[in-house]
Amino acid sequence: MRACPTHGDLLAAYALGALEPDEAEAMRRHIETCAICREQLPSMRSLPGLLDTVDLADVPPPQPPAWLEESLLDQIARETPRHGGRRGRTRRRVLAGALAAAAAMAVAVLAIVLSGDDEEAYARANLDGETGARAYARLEAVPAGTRVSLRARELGRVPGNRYELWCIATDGRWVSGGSFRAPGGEAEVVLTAAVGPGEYHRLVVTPEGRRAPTLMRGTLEY
Amino acid sequence: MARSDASLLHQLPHDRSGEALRELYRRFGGELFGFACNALGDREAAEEVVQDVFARAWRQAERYDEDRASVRTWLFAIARNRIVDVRRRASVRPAVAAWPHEPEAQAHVLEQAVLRWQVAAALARLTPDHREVIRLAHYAGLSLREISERQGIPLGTVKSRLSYALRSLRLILDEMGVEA
Repeated sequence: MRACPTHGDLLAAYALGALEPDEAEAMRRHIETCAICREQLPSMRSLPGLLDTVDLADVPPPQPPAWLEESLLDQIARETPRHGGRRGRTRRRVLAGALAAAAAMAVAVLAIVLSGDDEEAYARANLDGETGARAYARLEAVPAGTRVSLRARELGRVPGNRYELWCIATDGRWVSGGSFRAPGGEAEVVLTAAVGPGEYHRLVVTPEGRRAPTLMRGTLEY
Repeated sequence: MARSDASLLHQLPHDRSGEALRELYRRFGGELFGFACNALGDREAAEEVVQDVFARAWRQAERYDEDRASVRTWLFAIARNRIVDVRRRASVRPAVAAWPHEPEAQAHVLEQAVLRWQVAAALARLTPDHREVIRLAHYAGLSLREISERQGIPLGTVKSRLSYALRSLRLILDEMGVEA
């Protein structure tokens, strides 16, 4: 797009109404005599109206949470007959029940302050969320799977202050790591998840019993 | 060479690895999510819609006809229908804003939602300097002179920066097919 050599720089400001009144008047007169500016003005003139459609607070536009891709692939895998179909679903329900029981037990039994000793951990993860929520998790292998020591801060308010930790498996499954309470948005808890090293790559925290919204997430560093 | 959208879609029914679906999701998931968020004003509802759009695309891939619409148009059409369904249930979802009864008004709301997503995405592609000068000149309503004084930047620099910023924005919007 060729720009007018004398007034090209002012056309955008003119279209946006960002010139002083005397400059705007001079520009208006110039446009009457300049074929280049006259031709380019309409495409600039439409911009203020387009800009008015958005609030700058919405830029960049919202992105889907990272778990959505895994959740989608998980759904498709469950719907594909060769992946187990109905049997797969039943098995999941049983597994979900067992995990829920384990989670309830985890809540009842465990809520201890972390020692900070990191030597036994096979992986770690830093989690964070859009509203400032953050957490550090260290993961140790135990006979039942993985013990997750989680230290969380500034978790957003949810009903009952009850949250759930999820391990996103490499095949897309969501494995609950149990639920926990975080009065005042803070928690230091130890939970047990039925996953082993290498079987999962991401941790997600949501309100208890739901997969959304994601309050924070993080990728494992093995 | 990157596979075409249509060939990925045709591959879906035979794709055991999930790679075709993953690739389609990566190409269009963000855009559809932004659109659904805009149309519904609710992230959680938008997440459901996006997941459902791709699940339906996977189930109905054989119905897709390359000669009738691009994959993008086809996916957006599925998304529109799902959004209309969600908004019909709006009475049980207080977070979802009011929804007009007439189909024409509904179409208008959805077009506006796509437009808002496109303008926001175009602004996101500008440099921070360019976005800032647009913020000051348009959203804060300052003149070039006021911007120059406030920011301590020479007037000539503000002029050329705003000019480049708006020309870049126009080019990006043209690429996206936003004509207005």
